[in-house]
Amino acid sequence: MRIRRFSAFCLPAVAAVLLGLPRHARATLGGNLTTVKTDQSRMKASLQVSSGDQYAVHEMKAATGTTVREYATPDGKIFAVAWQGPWRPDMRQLLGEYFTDYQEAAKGKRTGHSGPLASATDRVVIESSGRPRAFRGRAWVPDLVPAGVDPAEIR
Amino acid sequence: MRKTPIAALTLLAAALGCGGDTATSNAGNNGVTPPNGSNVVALVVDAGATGSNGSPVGYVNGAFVTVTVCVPGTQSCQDIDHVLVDTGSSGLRLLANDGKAGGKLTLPLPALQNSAGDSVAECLQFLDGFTWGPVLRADVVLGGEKASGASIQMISEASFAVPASCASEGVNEDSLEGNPGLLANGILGVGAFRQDCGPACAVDPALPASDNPGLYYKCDASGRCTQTAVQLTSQVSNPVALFSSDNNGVILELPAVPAGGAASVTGSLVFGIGTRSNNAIGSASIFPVDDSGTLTSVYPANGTEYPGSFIDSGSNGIFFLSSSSTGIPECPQAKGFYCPPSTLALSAQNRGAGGSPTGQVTFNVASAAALFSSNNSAFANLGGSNGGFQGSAQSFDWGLAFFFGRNVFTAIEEASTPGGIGPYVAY
Repeated sequence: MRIRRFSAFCLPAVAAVLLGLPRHARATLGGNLTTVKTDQSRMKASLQVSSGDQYAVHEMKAATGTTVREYATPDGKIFAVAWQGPWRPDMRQLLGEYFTDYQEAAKGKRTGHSGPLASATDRVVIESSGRPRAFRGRAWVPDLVPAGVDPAEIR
Repeated sequence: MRKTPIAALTLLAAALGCGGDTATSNAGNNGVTPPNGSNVVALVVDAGATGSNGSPVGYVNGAFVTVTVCVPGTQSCQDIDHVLVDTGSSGLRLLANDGKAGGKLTLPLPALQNSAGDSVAECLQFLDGFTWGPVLRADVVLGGEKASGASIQMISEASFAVPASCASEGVNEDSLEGNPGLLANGILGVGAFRQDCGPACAVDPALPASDNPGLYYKCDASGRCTQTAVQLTSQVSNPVALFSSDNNGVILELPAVPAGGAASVTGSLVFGIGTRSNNAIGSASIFPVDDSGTLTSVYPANGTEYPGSFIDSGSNGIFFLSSSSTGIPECPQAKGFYCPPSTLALSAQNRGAGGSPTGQVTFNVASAAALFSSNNSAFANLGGSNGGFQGSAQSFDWGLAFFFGRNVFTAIEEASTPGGIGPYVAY
């Protein structure tokens, strides 16, 4: 799939706050596109959108250096998220109803203190690696991934 | 499966030319002549701390030391055994013996307070989740070295409940056992950074464009904790960087282990690089790391570059790429680990963050299921996938399995060494 960048803009966090965006979000992964704005506000992040035929990528870069990408279907459903940076974003906010799946996956991990996490269930796939100052991960909901989209594109 | 099948596997592996422990690019000193000196402490790889049932908790590939903490400026001290040596983080964190955590720390250490008299606490992110608890002041003693008045973290909820913003990071690693258990009495972060967070945590988090990630909290008398800035010198810091000498980095020296593993292995944690006759860098290859502490791994050798790779004693295996890209099957039971039908002899390269140098690494991957079926705790050939990413987002996490049969140097950022200015790793 070819992604065509058609718009790129930045909003200082101050402006986002002044616009009165809600500070407390609904679910993000599995939620609707409106939650992207909430994430952007909470992360004090700039936002860049890349749209293609099958999905749009909303990329937020926070002042902390952490980048979050949210993958949305044309009808605005977020089917995947990815993160990378020195520190993780707010995982409860990012994963929404799948946060508890993330917690369960972490409990089952046997790769040492800082070894990677990889969990796949019918509900959600979660992958994460790294250590302080260099974290990276992604999660997607198989049932929501549009037909023909390869999860390898989620990064 | 016990001794006989393991021995048979070893013979088979040797016959196939893939016998484990000799296939390393640098055999190090193999522990033949352990260094002596006030800058050396014993490094033990065994089944871990004693659990509530009186038996070891059962750690695989964890390297532990005993750390002594003292009330600053006094002889009131406590030894804490089985503290995990982690080159992937910075700072000392100790599980409290508070009735819940199951750790060892009982010594009443003074709390770090801000200018308003509020106690400082921290929520540090790790891969599993987070550690939460107050920041305390201690003299940290390791062999003949001392970090005076160091900030350390006590892992405990007894003083302050976990704030919601911290709980949002995942699971709370607040106990020795259980799910998830820390499986160690603490973590000794001796990584390439001086502080666990660094300059970002010294910036006021309330500023509109603050880059403060919000790891530190101030907690008032009512127990309410809110995110705050903490100056660099008060942040939880790599104790080695606070030593009066031998303070530019560490060496982890572990002997090679047989293909079937070893029940326990003893090596050395050496402080300082090129500061004494027992810590010379010698002919080790020096790989600069970037400001995330990462370098580039290349796999197969001369193949694809994977930036964002790292060498980390706090991970237990060599975790690399994914089953789909390596073609190595994952274990049906031991999730995330590789279970090849026979031991694989593989080669990769490591490359410094700036593009050089490049050095060959040969390593073996045995069936993790077979390794785990022994009662051993130290394995040089334990491997798995690194989170299952695909394409260039993949990477190598060279965990403790990589350290056996090598002397692995970690130089601290901005520190001067005979091998150049840190941060770098060398072996």
